[in-house]
This record gives sequence, structure tokens and C-alpha cells, in this order.
Amino acid sequence: MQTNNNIPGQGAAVGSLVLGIVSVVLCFFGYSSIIAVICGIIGLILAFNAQKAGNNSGIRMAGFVLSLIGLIGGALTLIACVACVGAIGSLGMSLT
Amino acid sequence: MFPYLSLFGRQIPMYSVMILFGMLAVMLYFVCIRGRLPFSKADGGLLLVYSTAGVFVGAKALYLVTALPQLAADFGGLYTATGLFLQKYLYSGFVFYGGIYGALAAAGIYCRVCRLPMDQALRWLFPAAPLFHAFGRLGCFCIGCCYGRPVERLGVVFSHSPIAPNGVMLFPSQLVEAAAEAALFCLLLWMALRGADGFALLGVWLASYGVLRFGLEFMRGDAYRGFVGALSLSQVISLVTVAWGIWLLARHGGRRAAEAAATTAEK
Repeated sequence: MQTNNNIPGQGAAVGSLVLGIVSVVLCFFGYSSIIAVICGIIGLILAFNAQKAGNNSGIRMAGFVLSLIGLIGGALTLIACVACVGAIGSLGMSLT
Repeated sequence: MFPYLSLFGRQIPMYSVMILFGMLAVMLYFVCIRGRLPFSKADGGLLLVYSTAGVFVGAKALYLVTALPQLAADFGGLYTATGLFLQKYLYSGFVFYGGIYGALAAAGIYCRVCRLPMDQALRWLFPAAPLFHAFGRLGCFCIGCCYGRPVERLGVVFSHSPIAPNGVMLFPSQLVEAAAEAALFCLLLWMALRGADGFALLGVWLASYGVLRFGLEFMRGDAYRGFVGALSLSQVISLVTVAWGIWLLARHGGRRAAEAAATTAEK
């Protein structure tokens, strides 16, 4: 029986899938989008590292796709927040 | 101009929509050139992901550097008004030049660590930067940020902008910059297809964009930018950028002359 230890880059592929799911879930909520971006970037790095190690499994592909969606979604939500906050800033928001 | 798009009863900022178009354009560009990259797909992907991380880190770091005096003054707010503090310093404020330098630094480190040819990476991947930025500036135009000075003719009048003054004719600095970046993308792509060195491409963009940005800053009307004396912070960075670009082009020219001389001597 083949175990995970025998498949090259399987740990990275699973990590990519987990981070991809986390980033997709978090990218829909305004202020958690920055965490979605970070998880998406790390997920993509893990997916490419798994590919570099010779892993072409479905888990790696799913991790890659979910991380990419999470990164793009998180970046868009973050930038939308930036645009809103920028508008507030131009109206004179101050902490003091 | 059109700050929000109504879709299924929800207001979507047009800035985000233009950024999404920019991402799609960049992805399409990478799909078109992927066969020309002289390294593996995984290495190309990793280079892109690290560069993207560099964009976020560099743009935020440079913003924090420019806002350092105010950040120091507001630092107490981290405990008393945490949400507002994070809104002000974490979720807003990204500086474009910081993003470019961050991406270049990240790509340079990755190429050095993995022993990839940086000139080839720049040659094929760097044209994506002006392409994406052109869409970003169109997003600025939609929401009205980075607006120009009031002019009497050849301007645009905003009517629903949450940032730019409405009902005043303003110089369309965002559109000028978007058009210039689109033209620079075409120029860099043409150079890449003609076999130009990646560092020459980078030098051309640094020198051209630096000059453009330095001039455009005089036509900007938004007050919430950093200033260093009479010049805006972007103008100071533009001067450094132009100097670096000229140095890269001069070094590239010198190298080509030396290669030509060596070829002639061999004959």
C-alpha cells in the first residue's frame, strides 16, 4: 500500500489545500481579507513547491486553485476596503 | 467618475473591478508567454508569487515609512482605538513605488537563491507591471482618487466621486498615466520579442516612468500625499528611479559595446 510518505511533495500539497480553503473562507469578510491574502500566497508557494518536487496529484491542483481564488478574492476585498478607507481618510479621519 | 457598480443589488467599487480586469489581463499575458520562459513552470509560478508578496510588503512598508511621524504620534491609538488604528495603517495606504521595488527585490532574491537568470525573468515577466498599473489607474479614475489640478479646458468633471471635488474641471492625471503605462507595456513587449536584455527593459521603464511621474505630480491636485520640501515624495523617488534607469541603460550599452568589440577582435 502506498503511503503519503512515498509521494513526493504530498505534505506541501496538503498544506496548500488547507491554506487554500482557509483563504477562500476568509476572503469574503472585510477585515479578514488580509489573512486570506497571506494564506493564499503561502498556499500557492506550497503548491508550486509540491509541483517542483514532482507531485501532480489532485490535492495539489485543488490547493493551487483554492489558494489562487482566495488570494484574488482577498486582494479585491482588501483593495475595496482600501478604497473605502481612503475615502474616509480624505474626509479627515483622525485618531487624535 | 463611476465609483460603484450595482450588481444584484450590491454596490461593488469600480476600483476593485478594474483591479480584477488588470489581474485577468496579466494572467492572459502569462498564458501567452509561458512557452518562452527559460525555466520550469513551477519556478515561473514561484517567481510570480514571491513578486506578488513583494508588492504587498514593499507598498505597505514604503507607506509606513512616509507616514512615520504620524504613526509615532498615533501609536497610542493601537491600544485605545485598535480598529481605527488598523484601518488607518494596515488596511489603507499602499505606495506604488514601494510595490515595484518590493517585487523587484523579491524576484532578485528568488533568482539568486534558485540560480535562475534574472535578465530572462525581467525580460518576460516585467512587462506585466505597466499592464497591471494601467488598469489600476483606470480604477483611480473611476473612484476619483489621485485626481488632477483644476484646469479651464481639456479636463474632466466628476459628479459622484467620494474623493475628488465634484463639479470642478480637473486635469485627467489618471487617464494620462494609464495611457502612458499601456504604451510602455507595448514598448517593453516589443523589446522582449526582439530579444532585448531584461535589464535594458527595466532601465527603459524606470527612466520613462520616472520622468512621466515627476512631470505628472505637478499636475496632481490631491493634497494627501507626502511632501519633502517643494517636491512630493513620489517626485523624490522618481529622481532616484530615473537615475537607476539611466545607470542600467548605460551599463547595458557599455556591455553591448564590449561584446561587439570582442566579436570584431575574434574575427
